Amino acid sequence: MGAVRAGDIRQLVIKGREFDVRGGDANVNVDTGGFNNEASPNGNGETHITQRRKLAGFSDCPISIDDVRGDLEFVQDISDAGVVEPVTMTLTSGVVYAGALVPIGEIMKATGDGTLALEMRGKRFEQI
Amino acid sequence: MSEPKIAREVAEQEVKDWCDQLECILDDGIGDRLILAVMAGRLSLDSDSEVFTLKLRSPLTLENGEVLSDLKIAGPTFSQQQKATKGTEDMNVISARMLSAVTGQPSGILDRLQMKDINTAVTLVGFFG
Repeated sequence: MGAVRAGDIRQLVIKGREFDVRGGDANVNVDTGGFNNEASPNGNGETHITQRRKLAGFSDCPISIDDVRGDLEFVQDISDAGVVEPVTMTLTSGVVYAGALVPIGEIMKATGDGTLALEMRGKRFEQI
Repeated sequence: MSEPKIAREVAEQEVKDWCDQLECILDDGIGDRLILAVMAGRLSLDSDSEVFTLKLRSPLTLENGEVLSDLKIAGPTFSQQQKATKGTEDMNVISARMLSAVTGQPSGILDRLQMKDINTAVTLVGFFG
């Protein structure tokens, strides 16, 4: 049965503002959160598992920055505030992820290709 | 057809009052769609914020179990209109973008709504044109 499982981000809305996400070779990592595991062997061959919680969100999302609209400043303001904001992401398949996320890391625009590589994390980023 | 909750005359006056408040003119066919929604008790306007609330004929159950039962429709800004019309003359695309902007609902959610609800919502956007 055919179904679209990969491709571009059709729509990204952060705090009510829609951003343009670069298409083409963009490869955004979507994370629904939960736990990460590390495993190592015990001497008796049993598995020693260390489980740590991980936040939900997304990373490596190439946002096409509109300087006239102040896109970079908008995201930086959210980062400065340090609080989560509502985010929805619609994939090309029509699947929608939603949650309340905060920007992570450096908020910088690369002038060569006009994009911001955005990462946002929060408690929940789930299909709706 | 179930008994309307609001009499037709009352609904007609309500829609007329909205037109006066929002300084718009509606074609008869378009106005009829809104009148029917008002008669069914599914459409109201917050006069202070000028935001319509449209109760969906077919509420949508989301993947996370929540139910989307209504849409809040505000007037679009010039920026939203520019973005909706950017790079396309396809009215379906423009309507979809505009609807997403004024309702705050992602496009993937609006895709799943029934056309009767979409048509009423698109009509409401026309109030602000």
